[in-house]
Amino acid sequence: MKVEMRGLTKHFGSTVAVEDFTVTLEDGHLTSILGPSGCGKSTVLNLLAGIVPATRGEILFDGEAVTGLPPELRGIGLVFQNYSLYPHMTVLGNISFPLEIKKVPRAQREESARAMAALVHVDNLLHRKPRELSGGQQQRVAIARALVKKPNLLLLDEPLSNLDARLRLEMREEIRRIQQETRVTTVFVTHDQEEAMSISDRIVLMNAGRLQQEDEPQRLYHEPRNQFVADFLGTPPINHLPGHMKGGAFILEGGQARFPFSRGAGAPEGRPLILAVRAESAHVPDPDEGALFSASVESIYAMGKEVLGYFDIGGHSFRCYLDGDMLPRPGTEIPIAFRERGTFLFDGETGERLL
Amino acid sequence: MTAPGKRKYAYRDRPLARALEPLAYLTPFLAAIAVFTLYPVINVVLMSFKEGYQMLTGRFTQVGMENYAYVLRDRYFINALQNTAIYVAVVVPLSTILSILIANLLNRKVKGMALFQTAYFMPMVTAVTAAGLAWKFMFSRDFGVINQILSWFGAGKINWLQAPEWSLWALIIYGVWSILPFTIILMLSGLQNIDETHYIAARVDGAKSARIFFRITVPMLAPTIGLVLTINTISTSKVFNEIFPLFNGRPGPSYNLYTVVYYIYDQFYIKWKLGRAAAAAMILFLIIFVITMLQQVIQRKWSH
Repeated sequence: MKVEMRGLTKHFGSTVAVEDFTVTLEDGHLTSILGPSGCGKSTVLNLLAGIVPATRGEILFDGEAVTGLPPELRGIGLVFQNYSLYPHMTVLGNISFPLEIKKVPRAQREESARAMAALVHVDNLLHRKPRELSGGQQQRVAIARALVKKPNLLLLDEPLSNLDARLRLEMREEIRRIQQETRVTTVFVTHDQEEAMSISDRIVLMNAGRLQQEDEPQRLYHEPRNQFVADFLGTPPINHLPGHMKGGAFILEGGQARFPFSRGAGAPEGRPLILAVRAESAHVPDPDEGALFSASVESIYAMGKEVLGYFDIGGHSFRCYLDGDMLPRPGTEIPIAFRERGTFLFDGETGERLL
Repeated sequence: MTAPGKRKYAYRDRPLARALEPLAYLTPFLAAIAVFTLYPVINVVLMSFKEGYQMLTGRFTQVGMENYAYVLRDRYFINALQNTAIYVAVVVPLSTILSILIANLLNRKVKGMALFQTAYFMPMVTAVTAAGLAWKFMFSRDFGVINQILSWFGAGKINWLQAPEWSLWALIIYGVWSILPFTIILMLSGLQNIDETHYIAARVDGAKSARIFFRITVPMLAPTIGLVLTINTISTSKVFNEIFPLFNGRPGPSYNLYTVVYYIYDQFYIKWKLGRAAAAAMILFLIIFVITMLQQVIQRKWSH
């Protein structure tokens, strides 16, 4: 089912939760709504579910307005962070409860529930109570319960946050598998960028109630529209070098360093700018390549396949990956160059991307 | 072992001393329990078997079952058992059901809820005697508000406090009223332990209020309901205080409203028959004990 949100706005009293949010989710896609806590991503989910009414704006399911429709008429399945299984019902009871509400005959609803349990691989646990299950198993049951009535839209609210790291990896692959098998249009709310990057067809990145960018995960990473997007994605976080353009060169704030930055030619002179460089986009250049600037080594972390270095460039801290066989000692100076890919120039005031 | 620094801890190597040390710390507490709880209980058990017991001298004629035999033949005691049984059998379920409904309403986030909560918890902070007097006026045959309300529905005037056949019901109504606040508090805390997402999940799936109430709220409240049933059965079995203000300090208009504890009080303080009072107390204890055990067994089966 195609889901359109147009100018969707939600205010709680004077608090703005979501403001002028316009996004289209394509049929059969898994879309993550990603953002820091309090950015309004869960509110968007609740608006889609119909649990909270919209202040303004429209929601369309396959072209039909559902903005004023109560949750039960929207044909959605909902999965909560804490699973919210009914503790007094067995796994089978939990999964078939939505059908019980719909007054589906017992034999039929148990058959559907069993099929759904098999899909999420809990068919051997049908007569257990939720408290006898692990977190991952509980989440599988919750997904089965949400899917059993064949919803047009599956909404997952931070479904992996309560799981330990190992289970989280396993369950996100499972969610992807289940989604691909059922082809149900899915919205996955998370604050974990890695989770969103690995699982999604598209990512909707939000901040402070507003849409920041909506795109494929890789494009979001490689072509951020503003500084927030660049900052939010990527581990370790992207480096910031504040400064301004003068005579086609980037002058680092404080004036100690001056970089002939060829791509910076079109940037406005005099304005405060941020040169943002991904950790993997800086490297130690070959002697003939020519260094952009020199950095003093503060500390080096060797982590198996890669070495992460912490540097000081003109008073600004900077992180980048080094070749595995290179372990410079702290206090020494090394040359550093940037690659085109993963180097961005943002307006220092608005955060908009310039280059 | 022989290091000089370790000598003062040497007693730790003696197992007896080590076992007794915690006991020494516990002694004050254990002594308090022994004096204020254990001794009275044991004394009541012994007293119930002593015939012709004089408390001041401590003398008694012989040990035997005479006190029990007397009490179990006493028609006032049998009447007290009946009254108490009816009282418990009506007040406990009624207050449980009412408290679930009221707690469910109070649990909603509606403006002005604080006012309602205060109103419902009022009985808890009112002295039983003062509230009892207020109820006495409300039960009044000619001027009472209860008869007035009933008259709107065409009911005749009921002589709540003077007619023996109605007096137990007056006591029951007052009993439900006085036990409700505490019961509601327990239910409310039980309700607040139910995560709201359970309701949202059911609502998204299209469940109506009635189904949510019976399929989700009540089962998830079951542990609290069990606790309430147990606590209230015990406390209503001991109904006593409520009788004084309503019936001018007598057990009902024509001595028809003895309850077991009132009977014990009567035998002890009025008639000075300590052995009989103790025997009646033992019988009440055994009955409550058996009922509570049965409840526990049933609840354990029910919750699995």
